[in-house]
Amino acid sequence: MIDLELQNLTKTYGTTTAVDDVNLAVEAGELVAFLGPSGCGKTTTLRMVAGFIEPTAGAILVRGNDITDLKPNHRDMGMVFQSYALFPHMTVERNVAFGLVARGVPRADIAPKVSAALDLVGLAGFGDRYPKQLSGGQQQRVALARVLALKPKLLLFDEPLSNLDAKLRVQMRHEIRELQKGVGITSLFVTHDQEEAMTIADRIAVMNNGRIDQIGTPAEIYDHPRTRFVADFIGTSNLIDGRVAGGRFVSKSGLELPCGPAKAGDGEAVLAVRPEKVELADAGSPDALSGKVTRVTKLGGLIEYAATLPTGEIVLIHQQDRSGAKTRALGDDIAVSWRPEDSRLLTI
Amino acid sequence: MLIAVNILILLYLVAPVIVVVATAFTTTAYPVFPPQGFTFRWFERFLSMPEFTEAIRRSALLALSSTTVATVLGTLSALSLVRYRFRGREAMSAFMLSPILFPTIVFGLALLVFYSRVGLSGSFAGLVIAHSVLTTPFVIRLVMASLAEFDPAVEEASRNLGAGWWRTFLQVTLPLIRPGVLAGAVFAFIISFDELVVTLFLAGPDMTTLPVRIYTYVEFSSDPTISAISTVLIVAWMLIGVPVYARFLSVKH
Ligand SMILES: Nc1ncnc2c1ncn2[C@@H]1O[C@H](COP(=O)(O)OP(=O)(O)OP(=O)(O)O)[C@@H](O)[C@H]1O
Ligand SMILES: [Mg+2]
Repeated sequence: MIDLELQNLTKTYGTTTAVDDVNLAVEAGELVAFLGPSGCGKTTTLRMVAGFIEPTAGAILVRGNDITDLKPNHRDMGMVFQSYALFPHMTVERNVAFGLVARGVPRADIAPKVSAALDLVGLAGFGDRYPKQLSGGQQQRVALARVLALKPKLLLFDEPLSNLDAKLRVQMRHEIRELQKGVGITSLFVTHDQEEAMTIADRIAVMNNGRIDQIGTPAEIYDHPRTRFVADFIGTSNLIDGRVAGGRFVSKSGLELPCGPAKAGDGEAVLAVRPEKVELADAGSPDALSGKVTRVTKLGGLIEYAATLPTGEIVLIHQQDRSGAKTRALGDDIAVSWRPEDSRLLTI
Repeated sequence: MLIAVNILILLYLVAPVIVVVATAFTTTAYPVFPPQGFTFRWFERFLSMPEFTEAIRRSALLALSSTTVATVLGTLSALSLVRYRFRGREAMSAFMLSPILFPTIVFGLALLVFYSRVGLSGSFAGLVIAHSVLTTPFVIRLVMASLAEFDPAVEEASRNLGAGWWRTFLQVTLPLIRPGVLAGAVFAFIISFDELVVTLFLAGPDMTTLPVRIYTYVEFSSDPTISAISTVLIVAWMLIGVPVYARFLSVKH
């Protein structure tokens, strides 16, 4: 069942188009992450769904009902803000009760709902504190309890973890995911952190310049990027410009490179290969491109080699840094290769 | 050393107050410092002059009315100036604050001419309007300052949780800008209660406020009654104003 649908959603400010004809259908219970660089329109999209920004064009449907013109307080959505946005003059308990009171929940039902919500986020016993007496992580949990207490139709997150330190961010990311699965509420999650998007989302919508470039599961997005932008933005990719002719890829410098099937037919194209899919071998190996190591970088558990081909292309290779693995030094002559099915031909 | 400097500055600031309070108790027929003897005569005389008690009553009523108008209008316009983006917002903001920069004598004269046209001259309502115009910019300024301090996402959170505009204003916005609103109201009250120049132009013979009454009184006589009135006002201010100030407007938050 489709819970949320965005139809041709567009927002323009003067001559800038912040959100450009976005279409999206979110299944009930699904968590979709909006991922993209700064200024690509993630927040604008989320705030249109919440009702804080009026779309220039398009429609927002929740469970089939058009809510585009509804006021934010009538949308039954729970939003979690980057700045937490707790009411500083109210105790934790009153913060969590606020939405219940506003929605006219009978008095007697409020206290049990508040303590259930605080239990859920592990803050039982913190009800009498004021927000400023809590750590950032605890404040964000209160913000979560505040929206979960309402059991809204939709949860909206705008970079909720950006103000937390790295360790806590990773921990909270899992907590949010568990809570969201537990309550089964359809969610949109805005982030510019791809690792966060990868771990938390059922599907990722990669945004670029106000448009959704690609939407898919984390694995689809990583293994089958559809555009050059997605291949470049998610993880690291070797991107080589060239042309496809008769199912074969030839780089700008005239080198024929192994490639998968060309779906788009002949014409200009980009060949994308992940560095971990590139095989590193001794110089002179058959069916490999010869090159020279021009840079060696240690990246945690990985070693990244940059190999420069005689025709000028630079190919990055990621190798697990295991004891016993053969390491290369700067200036070594080597050979690189990849399986055709590990490469992707993309439109520009 | 620092303490000595501070004491000197404090003396410099409160010396006039000390002198005025002291002279209110002198037995001489004119204010002298140090006072000679000790008497409550000038207080009795002040209380027995209906033109003064009447003027105090009118000034208090005028200050209360204009403060109410200025606080409501000032808070609303600060809200719209800070929260809503509209064409000409900057210009509007500067314009709203301009009465602070206007010479009051020019303003008084302008209102005099204008009021005689629209039939407001010599009326209490006319004074309330004039004082509100003078004091609203202070309310706007102070409320804008406290609005700029808090996260607009807090208001959005309230809307998102299901609160309408009015509930959000009463339960979220207003409590958070209360220090600014109260500071604005206190300023407005003091300015209105103290206002002389504009009131001189506008107040008819039966609309005399306390500053105007004092001003005309000292033109003709120089007995310590004025000192006695000043003393009463100073004590009233210390009993009411200072606690409000300390509770809501202290420098630290
Ligand atoms: N009120 C506004 N007036 C004019 N332009 C705006 C306004 N709000 C946003 N924009 C523009 O719209 C674009 C999208 O902004 P948005 O805040 O949605 O980006 P974002 O993807 O959330 O970025 P970030 O990761 O930095 O938060 C940006 O180019 C921004 O400058
Ligand atoms: Mg954003």
